[in-house]
Amino acid sequence: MLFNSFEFLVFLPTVFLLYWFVFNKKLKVQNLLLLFASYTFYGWWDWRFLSLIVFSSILDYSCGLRIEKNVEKSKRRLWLILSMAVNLGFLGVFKYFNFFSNSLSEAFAKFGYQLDALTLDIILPVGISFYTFQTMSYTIDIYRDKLKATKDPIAFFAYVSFFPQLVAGPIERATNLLPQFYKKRTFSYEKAADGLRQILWGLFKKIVVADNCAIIVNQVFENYTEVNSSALVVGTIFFAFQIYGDFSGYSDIAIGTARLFGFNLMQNFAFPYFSRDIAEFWRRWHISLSTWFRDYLYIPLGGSRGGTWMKVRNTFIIFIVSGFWHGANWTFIIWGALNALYFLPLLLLKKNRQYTNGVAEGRLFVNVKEIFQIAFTFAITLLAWVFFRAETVSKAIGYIKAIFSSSLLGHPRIDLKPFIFIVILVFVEWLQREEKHGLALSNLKYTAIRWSLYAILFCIILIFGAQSQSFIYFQF
Amino acid sequence: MKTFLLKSLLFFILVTSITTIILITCGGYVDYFYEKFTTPKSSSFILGDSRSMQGIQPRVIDDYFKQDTYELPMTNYSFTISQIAYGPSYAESIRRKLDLNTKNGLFIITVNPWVLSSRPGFDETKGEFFEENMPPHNMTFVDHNPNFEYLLKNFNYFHFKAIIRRSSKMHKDGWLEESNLPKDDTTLNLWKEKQISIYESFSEQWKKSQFRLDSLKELAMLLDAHGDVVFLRLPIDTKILEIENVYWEQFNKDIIEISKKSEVDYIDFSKSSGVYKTYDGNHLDKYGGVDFTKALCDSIVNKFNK
Repeated sequence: MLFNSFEFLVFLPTVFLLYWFVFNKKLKVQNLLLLFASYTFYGWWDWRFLSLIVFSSILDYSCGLRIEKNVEKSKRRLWLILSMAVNLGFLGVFKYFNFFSNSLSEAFAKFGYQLDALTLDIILPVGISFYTFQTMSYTIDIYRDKLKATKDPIAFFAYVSFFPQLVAGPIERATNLLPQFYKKRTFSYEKAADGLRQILWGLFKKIVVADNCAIIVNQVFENYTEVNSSALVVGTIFFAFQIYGDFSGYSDIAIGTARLFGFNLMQNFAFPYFSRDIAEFWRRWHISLSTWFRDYLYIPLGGSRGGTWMKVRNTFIIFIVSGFWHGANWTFIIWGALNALYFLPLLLLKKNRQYTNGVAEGRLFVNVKEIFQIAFTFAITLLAWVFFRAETVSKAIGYIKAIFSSSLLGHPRIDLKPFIFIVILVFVEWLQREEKHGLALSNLKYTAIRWSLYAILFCIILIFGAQSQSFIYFQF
Repeated sequence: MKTFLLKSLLFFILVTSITTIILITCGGYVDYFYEKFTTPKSSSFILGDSRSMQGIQPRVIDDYFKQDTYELPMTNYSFTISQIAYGPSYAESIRRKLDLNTKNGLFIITVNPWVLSSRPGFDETKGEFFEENMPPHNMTFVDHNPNFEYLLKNFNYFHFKAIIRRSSKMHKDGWLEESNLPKDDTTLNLWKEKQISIYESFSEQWKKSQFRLDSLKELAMLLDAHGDVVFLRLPIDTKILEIENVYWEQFNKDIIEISKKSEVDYIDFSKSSGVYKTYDGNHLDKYGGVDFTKALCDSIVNKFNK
């Protein structure tokens, strides 16, 4: 079920009313309702893939108990390895099998050996990368004694499949989300009202910004050999805002929806395009994934401790794996490697944590230095986005090459209307950059202004919303 | 919680009101079909695809037959080739829109090879219909204003941006007026080429369908009980006509045969290609449409001695 669909428009209020008015007496029953709702939400795409979530939940629930029960480290490790092997095995088969098979065949071909690639004709289950990482964090944290294994299967199953964030995150840690299933949730007006505002803002970002940009982006990337250079640059800028509007819009809707049910999910985007360097960008972009890799991969590898070589190695590993997580394609790997290259100088010069505060805090405008920093950071992310969007590495290189031609300063011969929506987005988010989301208006005292803003935003969504498109991150 | 529910309800009312105002005031601009489901049941129909939706203007017919000849006003209940072909689904929708007390209606059923063809992947004889989940077939209520059923079931058909740039208008009588057509021949020729290539691809993939022909006959017989029925083939560009003639060589003969069996008349304007102006080879423009509709009325008068 898509957030931007009529089905969800009926589904959400129905579950909300049942949750607070019918099943509110007992916590277990309320969790059971969430579990049923989540399975319905997921099964709406393809009920067959529910079996994967159920299996993964049973496995990790059992492994968690076994890890906790065993005192012997080797046995604890064995259960952890089993959990991780099965989870990563699913991911490997459904997401990466064909990639490895094809790459191997191509590699053999380069040495003159013909090897027919064995490929599987399978569909990638929606959100598999998200819930797999979520369940893995559970068993790893138990293994590290950071979390007690749950003895409440309903709470655990509901945690794994919690519908607001099931298919595209934020990737929640068991330490944050699971305990919320143990406690009786109380309805908070402020929280729910702000949740609805966040949903509205998320819909604007997705339906108006991302979907309108998508139309032009698709035209430009599909015909990059035929459009002029300035159009290629505009196409890349549109893609930067398409992916931001799409993914952060989804996160806003997910977080807002969870708040309606009394849950707090982690912030996933913190206005990343206002970052002054790439390190700050990565602290603000897809926060739940970045911190996941930091905690479960980067730090166990040694992090930024150790010598220069180790820092370089770890940085490349984390960024390349992060790229590979997005998809089984060399384009994502290069996207990751490019970001590692951007990040490395900051790390080696120990400047990767120089901007931990927000830009222009306490001021309305940025200074000239900050403008250049933000523009430079945005420009280098644009270059990386070309690889992220292109179908193949050669197309990405061809695209970048085509940018540098005499028509770079010419008028881009494409529809520039999405810029209007981008300007609205940037303007609102700049004003709200110290808040949790673009429409956090609880401090705005004038009800009439608030409601006028809601009405205007709804009209913009209705009138300028592009044809409904699936969320990009569903494929990851 | 009470305040939250109350304010949520208020927001819902606000949103519904905005949408309703847009539908009532701009319904003809924001969707190609919406208005067809907001008007009362009708006694006279123009049926078919986009050729008749744009090419036959009900108000011209209403003006022509002022003197109580038929139960008017006429409703253009045509859609496009993407949504319709003659079959049980379209017949059911027509039945819903028809005022069943009609005794003396006029029913213009437009025909061409494409609305009587079978499409790849669908076997009508096994109950597989491409049109099943599309308008008008997915509509239960065809005469409600505002029509929220249409909004909910066919939201993806809407293009609300059109309230700003009003390039086409679906009139209340069901006629689609294209008012912002390009004036340069280059663009129009490109459109024509596109139409030709579309029909070439249809002719390679689609097959003439006996099931659809039988459905046409049943529809004619159904409507015959409520007035005069006429089959009509609209004028189109000669190149498109050539494609149709190759695809279905005996088309006119087959239609004449059905018209005889169902005791209705057949008016063939396909030979008048070039007489009435189309903008893309396939659709009559609004000026050509007036001339054509008048000529059609003359033919109807001749056929039925009205």
